[in-house]
Amino acid sequence: MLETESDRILISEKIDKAIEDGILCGKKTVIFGCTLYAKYISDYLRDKGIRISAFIDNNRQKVGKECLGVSIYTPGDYLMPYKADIIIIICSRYSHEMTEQIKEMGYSVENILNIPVAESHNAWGDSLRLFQTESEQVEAGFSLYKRLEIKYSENHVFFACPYPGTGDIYMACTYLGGYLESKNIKDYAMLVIGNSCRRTAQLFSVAGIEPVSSGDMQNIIKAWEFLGDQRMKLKPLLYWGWRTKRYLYADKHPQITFTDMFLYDVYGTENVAGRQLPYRNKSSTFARQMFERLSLPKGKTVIIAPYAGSFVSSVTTEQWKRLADLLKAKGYAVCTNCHGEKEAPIPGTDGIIFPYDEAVNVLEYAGGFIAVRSGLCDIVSSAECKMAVIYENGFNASKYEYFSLKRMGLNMNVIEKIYTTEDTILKLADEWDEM
Amino acid sequence: MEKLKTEFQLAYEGREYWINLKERYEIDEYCYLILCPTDNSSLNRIAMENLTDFLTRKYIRRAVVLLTEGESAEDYPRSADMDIRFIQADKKEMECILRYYRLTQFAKNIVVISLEQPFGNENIIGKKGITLTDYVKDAIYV
Repeated sequence: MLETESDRILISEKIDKAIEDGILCGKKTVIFGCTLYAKYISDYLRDKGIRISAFIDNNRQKVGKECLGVSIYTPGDYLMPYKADIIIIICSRYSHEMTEQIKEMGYSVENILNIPVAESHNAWGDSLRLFQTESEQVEAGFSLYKRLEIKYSENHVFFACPYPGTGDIYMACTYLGGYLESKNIKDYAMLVIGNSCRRTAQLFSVAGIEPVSSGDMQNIIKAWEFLGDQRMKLKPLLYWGWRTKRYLYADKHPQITFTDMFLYDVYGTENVAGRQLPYRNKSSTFARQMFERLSLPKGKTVIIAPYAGSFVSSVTTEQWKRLADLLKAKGYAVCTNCHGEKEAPIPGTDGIIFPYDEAVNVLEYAGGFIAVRSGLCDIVSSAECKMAVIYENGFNASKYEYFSLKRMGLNMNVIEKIYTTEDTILKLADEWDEM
Repeated sequence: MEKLKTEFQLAYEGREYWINLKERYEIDEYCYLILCPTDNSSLNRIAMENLTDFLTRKYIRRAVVLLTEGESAEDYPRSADMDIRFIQADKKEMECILRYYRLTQFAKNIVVISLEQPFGNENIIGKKGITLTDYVKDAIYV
């Protein structure tokens, strides 16, 4: 679960109070659990001049790696033998077991700063008031569903894509055609959040695309969760982040990929033959015209994509700049795929933006693409060009085992690197000519 | 708009059943409520065999296991170290409490031992070496 504004306020207040009370003074600060909360806490502490000494995590897949330049240990490896000068920050729904685990190692509550964010606090209850609130949400969702039935038809099946992540909707659409065929569904519409999702769904010529707000999406899924198939012809295209739905925790089973979860868990099929590629207009002149306008050379341009979308990347702007400089020294033009105020071009490169339905043409015209793993990588995965994709470990990162384009069967020629240090990035420049 | 009275009534009855269970068996945030709504004996057996490990991992020593009428507590292993109580619920009670769970997270610690209920499937079991035990450990007991 992503942290909410109220969680952010709570975390800030708790840390400010701890600093004010001198709890963190002269202590090594350790965060238990590599989560999005941990990233927010780490950033907040850094702004206050406090450096994290270590992350600890029970997930063996994360142990031994680095996050934000800080090493990850098992609790036992870092905390044993007992050290008095440690403060352990816990901010998790699993705070009870984490606290007990630490106490078993001889630590006391004085060594622990527990931040009870929403998912661990007051997120459950059996009051009539909560019953009423949840019922109202169900009614709102069902009401929306009935309006959609009127707009489309009672025979329509509605597919709900609740995550704004481009990669999620790409995978959902990739296998949608096969699913429709296997279930003999003729009339359908897809509910999506935001323009990015709408544009991705359009790549697959999805028949009816219905943009809804995130609040409406939550309500309609809530209604379906309560009422089920008997009352609503709706299929949520999700496997995670759903309270009453179980799915295999893939961290413990690295043989499972993102593709597997959509195939087996979301669609319940092995019909790989049903995989659909996105629409592409091969005769489009968009790429040629754009490259001419920007004076970029065909086949000697490397488009870098340093922005990770809903993932969190530890690769720094400075590291991307050094890579860009090395590539330019080898005679390549380098530009940054970016858009919006939050995504600036890497210094020394120009920004470049293109619509999703031209992305494959643009990459093939450019000749090269280097990216941190994001949903864009799914969209361009069929491009025939030099392509390198960087995977990361840690907070909400694009883990290789799960998201590898090769392992997912999306691109067998891509060069895939797991980021550990700056060398991971810079070596790409050395290897680029031989790729 | 169509009325949803029947579904809400089931959930309301589920709440009443839960309140009764909570008071009778003193179920608090240091106790797990384990719902076993199916008569899938192999699934239930694997779940019960792994229950102690799960509770140990969670630093919890108490659990109340709700079985359907067709399942007997005698069929499952017991742990001397844990306070685990087995209770039988009739079909209606199980349906109602599950409907209530579908509406809201009424207790902190709830686990449903089922591949399908409230939502899920068994499609990944048998694929890429994933066993039913893996699924119990890493999809149900999380």
